[in-house]
Amino acid sequence: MLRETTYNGLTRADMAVDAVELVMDEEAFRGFYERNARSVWAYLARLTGDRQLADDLLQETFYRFLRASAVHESDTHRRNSLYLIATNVARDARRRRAVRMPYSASAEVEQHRVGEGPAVSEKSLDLTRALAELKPRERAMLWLAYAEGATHEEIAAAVGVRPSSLKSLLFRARRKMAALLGGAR
Amino acid sequence: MRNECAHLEEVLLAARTGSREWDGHLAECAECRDAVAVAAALEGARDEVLAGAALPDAGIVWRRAQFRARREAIQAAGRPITVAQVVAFAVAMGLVGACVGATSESFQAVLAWVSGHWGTAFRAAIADHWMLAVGAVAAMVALPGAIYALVTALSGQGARR
Repeated sequence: MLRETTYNGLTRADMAVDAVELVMDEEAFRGFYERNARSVWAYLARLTGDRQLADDLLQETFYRFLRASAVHESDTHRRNSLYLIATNVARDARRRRAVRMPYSASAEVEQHRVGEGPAVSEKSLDLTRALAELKPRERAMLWLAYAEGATHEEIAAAVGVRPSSLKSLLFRARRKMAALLGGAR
Repeated sequence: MRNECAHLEEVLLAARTGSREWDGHLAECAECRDAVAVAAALEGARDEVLAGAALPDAGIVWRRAQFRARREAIQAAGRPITVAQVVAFAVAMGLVGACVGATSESFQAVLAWVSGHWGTAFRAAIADHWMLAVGAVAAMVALPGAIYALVTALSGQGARR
């Protein structure tokens, strides 16, 4: 490609590099990351059932957040946006694989069984198996509600549903999971 | 829309604190029983998932994001130049062809010979196989666009890595 000289020997590409702006500066980002990265990573790990994939998706989530031109009114709003991005990133990863998320014949369950993953209880394996049977959105809603303690408004913002629909969606997901956990016991 | 049990929050709070105050209600309310079972399974699961997780340092994530943003900005800035160059090249080729066609006697002689000898046969072939001809023209039009879309998609994937 020809390098087009536009001004003082600078190309348009050179000027674009100077114009790159992220949504916050490094110091603000460090604080925001320290406050949220672990929760978001756990969320991604549970949505995908794959700890290694969660590492990559965490990076992608924060990158998309930094590149978004959204204006956030508060830290809560910022956090909701981050979770919405994480939800979309996990959904995109699932579509790329073109298969159901690997929960059911899960690498995670297998890792635990052969003792390669972190030590976990039988209760946790039951939970993993039950989550495997849920739809991704149901997993996301229940995780946010009971593992993260998010409010209904926060969950609705994170999974991209209307707040008015959330209660009934959450009710159905909860009933389904309770039945699955009941079967596991 | 269905209404949630009015006591759900209190029942969950009582379950968390180990209070047996709502045991009577739990025996009757399936919704609260489900909620307590699910909450009990998920509470603490976050810490268990996070056990052994090694997250990258904020500084590394920040630097990677900056590097990628700059790379994407460079690609985006270069894209209009590439499109303009392709258009300019096509226009130039068209002009050269038109000039040659208009001024070259030998080219016009060849053209007249071809249309005299092959024109009739060509028109007959088109009439017999017009669908094939339409398909061929459509492919010639669509193919460059498809190649451009494919190259763009592949370079986009490369940029994300």
